[in-house]
Amino acid sequence: MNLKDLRPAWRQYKLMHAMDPLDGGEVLAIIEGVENTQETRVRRVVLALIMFITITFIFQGDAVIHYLGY
Amino acid sequence: MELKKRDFLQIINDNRGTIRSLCRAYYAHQEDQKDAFQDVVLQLWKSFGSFRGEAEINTWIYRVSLNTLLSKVRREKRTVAAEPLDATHIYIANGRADDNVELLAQMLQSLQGLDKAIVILYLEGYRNKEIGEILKISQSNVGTRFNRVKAQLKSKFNHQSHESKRP
Repeated sequence: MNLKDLRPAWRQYKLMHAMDPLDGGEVLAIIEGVENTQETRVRRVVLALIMFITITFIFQGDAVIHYLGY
Repeated sequence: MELKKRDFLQIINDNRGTIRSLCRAYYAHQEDQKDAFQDVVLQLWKSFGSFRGEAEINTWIYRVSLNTLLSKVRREKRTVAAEPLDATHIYIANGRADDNVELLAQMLQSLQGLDKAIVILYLEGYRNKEIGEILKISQSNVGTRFNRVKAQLKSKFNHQSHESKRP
């Protein structure tokens, strides 16, 4: 068997699988799902950072006293 | 819809036959093919930002798709859609395109991960050097594997061919 002879068959195989139209909505859902996941991850990190800074600030007695002007 | 997404959608639409064929070559079941299609599209989207058109779109599609599918198959640690060569039934191609497509499908089904990728890229018209670059393996490795696969298929095909000629 000469594999080269199967090249037209591979082209036809691809054409056969291209017959069904593509659902653009499905592709968008895949790529937008990634974006949303990345957004959520960034949002979580920012929120955690804000909470960490706030808690650190609150539990530093000196800072509170300084802040209140005592 | 932003321009980048529209361009991406157009590329996927233009190459849907290739992507689906690759998924079909690695996964026998429709649900698995759907999962594989999603994984491939996802990886294509992730690498779309760094794709500057230096390589041909076709080569980029093959590089990302095949590497995604090979990693997926390795990760799942199962060779879906791959049966031992002896278990497959390869019919003689009598020159009709449909028969050759059937033969091709069965031949692909009989091959394992990397060997299958090499054969697909060969059928697409790539040379050993390009195949090596796409699959991130050496050119000599491609040559060795390809010769082995060709010998395997030749022996199997000739065997089947003789059997079917018997009355």
